[in-house]
Amino acid sequence: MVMTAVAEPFPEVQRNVAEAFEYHAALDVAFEQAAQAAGGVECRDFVVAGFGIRLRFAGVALIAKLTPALEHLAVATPQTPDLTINLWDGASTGVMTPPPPWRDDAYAYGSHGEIRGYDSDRIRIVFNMYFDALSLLNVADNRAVFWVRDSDNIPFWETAAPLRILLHWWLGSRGLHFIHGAAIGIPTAGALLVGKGGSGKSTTALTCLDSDLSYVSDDYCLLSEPPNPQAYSLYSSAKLKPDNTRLPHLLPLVHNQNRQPDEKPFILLQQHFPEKLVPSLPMKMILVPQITGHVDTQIYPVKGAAALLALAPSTIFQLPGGTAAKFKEMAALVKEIPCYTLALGTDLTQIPRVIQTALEEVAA
Amino acid sequence: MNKINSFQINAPDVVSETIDGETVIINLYKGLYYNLNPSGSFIWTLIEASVSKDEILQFLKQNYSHLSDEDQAGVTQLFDRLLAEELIVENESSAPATTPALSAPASFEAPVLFKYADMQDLLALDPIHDVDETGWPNQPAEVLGAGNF
Repeated sequence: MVMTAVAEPFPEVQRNVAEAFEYHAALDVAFEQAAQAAGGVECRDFVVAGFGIRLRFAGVALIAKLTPALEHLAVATPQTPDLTINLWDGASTGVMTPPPPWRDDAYAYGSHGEIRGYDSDRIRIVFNMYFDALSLLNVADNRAVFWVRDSDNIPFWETAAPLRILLHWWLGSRGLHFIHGAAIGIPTAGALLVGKGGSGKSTTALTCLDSDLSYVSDDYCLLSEPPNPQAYSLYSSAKLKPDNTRLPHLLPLVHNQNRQPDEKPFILLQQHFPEKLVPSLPMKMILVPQITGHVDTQIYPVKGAAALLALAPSTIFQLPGGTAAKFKEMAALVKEIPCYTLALGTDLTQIPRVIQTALEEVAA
Repeated sequence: MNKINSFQINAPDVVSETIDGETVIINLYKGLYYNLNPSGSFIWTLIEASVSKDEILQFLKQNYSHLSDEDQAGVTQLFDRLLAEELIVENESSAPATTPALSAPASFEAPVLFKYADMQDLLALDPIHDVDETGWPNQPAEVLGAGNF
């Protein structure tokens, strides 16, 4: 059986970098109009993995939607920002974006909403069709734009993990990679919990709230490159299972109490467990949780390929720009640090103890 | 002239990594991912090196004295699946294979390709959409992945 080479999924498009820069300039003008209409600019400053990030809001409508999960990284005395993001919404300011300059047809948008032909390594542009949000990063001058049609349409997952795409692009270019994983540990050794949704990753991390283990992240963390990967905190949100029968004491703390049936409940650790959050930890092991149904929790070595299978697809497919290079980075990570299966038992109190013992052995 | 029954990885859509004798494969475009057991991984590594299917079968016969007809059929079936999944395509190069320095698995078991499709909802694979009056596209929510959070 002989097959011919698979054709390009889309026709080639011309790169329109100059038009993309012009569009950014037009967005800046629109932002200033929005700020004027909303009564001024509200700034919030954060330090993420040592980088100063300034969010400039036109008005206040987006602040409560986009900053709570970043509050643990807020700084009252800002440093000179390394990245500045202008944010506004159309509904409260009455200012929409300028019309997009690109053609609109079936091939204009990629699988994550990338604007084909305009999204490039110099200026990144994505339009999220789910809640009508535009993210643009001007790589050269470290400025970005986030616009959403209506702040009321921002979904719970954007509040729990805001501005993912912009931060993924910008921090990734500085050697800090978005990883779909939770990070916990002791000061000298951390564990990266990896796996797709429902694998037990979040529940495992939450069991550590009642232990001596510190908490870097629940669902996403930033990871520096091997040989000494460091996990950095980004969001303080932690999700619960919708039925949440395992950790019922956390239910009163849920941030999205008035959620829709399809929303996952999440809590903001900064508000309820600020002492558990740490800005970063050195990653010394990868744990692949596995729900067993047995009482006891155990830990045992697993092959690097199994860890890569748990880590790479869910990380790569969640954000635009999944490339062979990113896959190689993750492969390098699982080759660098030891990988284990964390066979989760039903006695949740055992879980942090087992992890802590393993981390102390690695750190010794 | 191309070598008969010689294939190559369907790059750049398809990327792979082999660690400790097992291979993880991702189709970046389709949102699918796979892994291969050690025998399948060994064959995959030979495909990467442009070793033809016939040469791979010959190698296996020489190295595994008990290689049965059923085992050989398993190899052919693996090639068929790799092609059907568009993970490999016909090798367009006529360059000779560069056989990598590999140690074959100690024993040969039927090569198996495991397929996972549970991440496809994170990608909007259907590009068809409407456009509103402001020039922005609209797409039904169920078409789009809402992230994994």
